[in-house]
Amino acid sequence: MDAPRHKILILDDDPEFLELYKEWLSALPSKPDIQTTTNGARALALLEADAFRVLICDLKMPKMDGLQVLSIVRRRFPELRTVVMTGVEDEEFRTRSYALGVDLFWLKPDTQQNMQMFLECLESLLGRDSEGGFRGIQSKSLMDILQMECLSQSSTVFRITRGSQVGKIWILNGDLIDAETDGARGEAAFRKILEWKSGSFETLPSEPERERTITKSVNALLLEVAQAIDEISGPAEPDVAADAEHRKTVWRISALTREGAEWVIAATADKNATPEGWGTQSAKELGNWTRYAGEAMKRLGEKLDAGTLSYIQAQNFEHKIVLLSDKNKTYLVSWPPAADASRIFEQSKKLISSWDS
Amino acid sequence: MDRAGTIVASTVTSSYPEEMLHEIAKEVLGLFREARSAQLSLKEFKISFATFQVTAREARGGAVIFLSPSVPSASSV
Repeated sequence: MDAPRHKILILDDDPEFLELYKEWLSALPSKPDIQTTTNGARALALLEADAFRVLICDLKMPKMDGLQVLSIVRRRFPELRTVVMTGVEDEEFRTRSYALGVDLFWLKPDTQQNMQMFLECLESLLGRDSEGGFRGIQSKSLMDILQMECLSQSSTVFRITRGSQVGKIWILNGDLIDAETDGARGEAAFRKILEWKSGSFETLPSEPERERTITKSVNALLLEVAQAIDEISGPAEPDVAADAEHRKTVWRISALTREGAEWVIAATADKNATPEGWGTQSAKELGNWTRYAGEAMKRLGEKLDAGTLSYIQAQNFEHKIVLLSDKNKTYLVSWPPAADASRIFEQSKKLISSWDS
Repeated sequence: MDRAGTIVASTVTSSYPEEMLHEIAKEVLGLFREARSAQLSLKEFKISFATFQVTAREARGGAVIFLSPSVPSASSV
């Protein structure tokens, strides 16, 4: 009996992109059934109606952007494999996407080779049985993570990011075979990466053909690195400000994901200042509305002699939102439509009170 | 009120200055309009001041607005 065909749903606001990818993905060896849609609401309706295996989702879309779709999908369809396919290279969105539990994050392939690699990853994802397990944010040392991967005899590639620094570590059948970062390769690169005190990581498909440049066992190398770190006092921090900002961004995205919020906007009264946004690509438009609402309510409060604005709570079909001020900023916090309206004001206050701490 | 800000019907006491109602109408319609520009398209919102609450529901470009004293704790929209 033939194996059932897996279903893939592609969500992108560009119809030409959808046509192209439908044609390419239909040629995968497993011959999946490909469906496409240009908007998030329709995608959710399709996912409700049928058993899809994989959702491939763009990030930058009008109305409901990819991160919003992914946050809903994560709750409603925990077994669905998700792939982000975006033209925007942005570490914050990569971090946010992985915090939402996506399986793969790909920039839209621009070469034949990259396209071929993407198709191989997708085929691998289709074939991966549902083994259970958990997705979430890990906060472990890199040494622990490497040791676990090697002990489990797995084959993978780790991509480690720390601010603007990027490193890769190749593992094949539990053996450490190569590492690369900042022009360094092999053991030197491995030592450099292990000296990083914090960062984020993602796993990529293994590369069995990668040339082996590391011959020492992982335990021997980790021991040497640990001893070297102990001997070094106050290693030089190449860019303390950038690292601190990156950590703050990662922390904030983790906090809003943990609390169940979808996105946060922060705007000051200064019209020349760019609004900040986390979890959304529409920070500018939403920030402008945040600023406008704050000013309008200040005017109204004065005219009505009604006192200062405490908050605004609003909703549409896609979100429940809360606008509130803290210190010298106005914040707009978005919650899913099913969030408890009687609690989101307090939840928003709690989230914002820790935002700049 | 309609989309032009004209008050269509009101249960507010006549002793309450009409220009205040127009001020409220202007700001409420402005919030809905600017939200549409920001791709937010709000259906309804509640504005909570220290002493006063304004709850507004979008209605075909206009709005139905409820005015009430503030309550101590947050309540649902």
